Amino acid sequence: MLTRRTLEVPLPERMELGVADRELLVATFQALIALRCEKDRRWEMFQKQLEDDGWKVRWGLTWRAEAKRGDDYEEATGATLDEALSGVAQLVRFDMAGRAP
Amino acid sequence: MAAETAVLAARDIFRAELDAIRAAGLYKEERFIHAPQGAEIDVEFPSGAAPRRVLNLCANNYLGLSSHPEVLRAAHEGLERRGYGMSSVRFICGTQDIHRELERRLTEFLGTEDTILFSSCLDANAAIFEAILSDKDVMIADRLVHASIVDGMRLARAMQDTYKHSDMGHLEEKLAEHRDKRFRMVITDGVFSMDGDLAKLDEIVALAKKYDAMVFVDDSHASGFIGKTGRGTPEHFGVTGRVDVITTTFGKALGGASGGCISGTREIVEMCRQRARPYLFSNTLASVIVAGTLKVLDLVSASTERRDRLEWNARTWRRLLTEAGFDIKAGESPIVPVMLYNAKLAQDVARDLFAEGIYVVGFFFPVVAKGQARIRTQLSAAHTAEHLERAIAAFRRVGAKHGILGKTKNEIVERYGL
Repeated sequence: MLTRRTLEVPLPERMELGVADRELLVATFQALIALRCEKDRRWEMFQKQLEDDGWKVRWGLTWRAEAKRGDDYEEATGATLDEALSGVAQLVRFDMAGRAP
Repeated sequence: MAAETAVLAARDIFRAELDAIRAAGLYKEERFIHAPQGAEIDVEFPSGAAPRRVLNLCANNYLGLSSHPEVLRAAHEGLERRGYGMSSVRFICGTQDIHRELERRLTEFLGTEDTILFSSCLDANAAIFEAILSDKDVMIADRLVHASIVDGMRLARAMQDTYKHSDMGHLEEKLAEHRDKRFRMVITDGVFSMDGDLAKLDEIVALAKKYDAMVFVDDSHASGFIGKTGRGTPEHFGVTGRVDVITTTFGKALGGASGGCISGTREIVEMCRQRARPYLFSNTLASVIVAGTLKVLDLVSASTERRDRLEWNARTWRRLLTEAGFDIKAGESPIVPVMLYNAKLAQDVARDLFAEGIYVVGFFFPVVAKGQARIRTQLSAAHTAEHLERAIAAFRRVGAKHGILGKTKNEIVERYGL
């Protein structure tokens, strides 16, 4: 049975931790742990395969934003949270307008 | 078996979704026409009913060339001389001399450098952005561009952005914001199909020059009749040769069959020949349509009589509707929306007009924005003054029945809701 192991990080005094701040901290630590341990670092094998095939590979962490309303769904990614959310906003905006044939 | 269960479940889910579309009043029903396209057609509606002759006010047959005898003759000759199908994409063994000829003639007609044919303008719009733009570029589109442009933008890797409909101040803000991108492309319809209004193409071209951006125009609802000689919105605004990319269709004024093209700077067209996926992986445009479209270009180049007639019809129809007390969208194109705001009212008015022998369709969300339900009337050069008189008499009777004549938007909304 897996034991849930957690790391406690003391926050600076008087710091107000909002929902977005909490999300950011959780995402940051999850990303670090994923890079260090995820599935025996199989990503290294995929990278090597691609490089062996002549691909120049770059990778990095990215923001992903989703918007869902009823059956409508849009998602976008971006290097920053601004970029990801503005991407979703643009996609949603396209769908809000009517479209005559 | 799990697979069989999933397949059966899928059918149940699809049935439920279709029922929901019907329940929401959004189910699209086809009406069967027992005649060639024209000002008057024989329509079977509802399905199984005896066809009845009605006046057609909802086709994109702007120049009345869909069943023109000379176009039919040219298409027949094309069929005889070049066959029915090519069984190939263009670059393998699907390019005939007449494909090259049509591309040359379109280039000349639109005042560009080169042209490439597609099976539809939807294909052209789906192809272009992915073919020429990369993740270093940005596409800045009017928020009311055609659905096929939205699909094309979604397929491209370039950043997407939009500006408020025809708001040049907002477009300028966006162009300034994206100064750091390699290429900026401003994307617009020439004539917007919902409201029939024209893009401010002269201002767009000026802004594009100021911010070193390319301009893309879908002129499907303009080619053949907007502008003094029907060359489209660039001619109307005096910017012929200053638009980088024009897409247009042969499925509306230019014969009404199908097919479309990208016309523009030589390098962009050449890139599309190498990279545009709908061009590379879909059959060539049928020879019979190529032959018919060549004849259409002969006709529209030889005389402006049809586009002049259409202009007169559109102006007259707008005046007749206004005098009758209908709330219409102002403009100068042959797309004349009669605003009803309420979706059920739009459907009821369309149904009553059909009973009066006038074929129009009610548009409501999601085809148009919520609270913007309407009947979109479309004029044709094939309409006569007698047709317009007959149509307005029917509109007056139906408008009076529903108590909407002379009413403002607020009064209609107060009575029928949004």
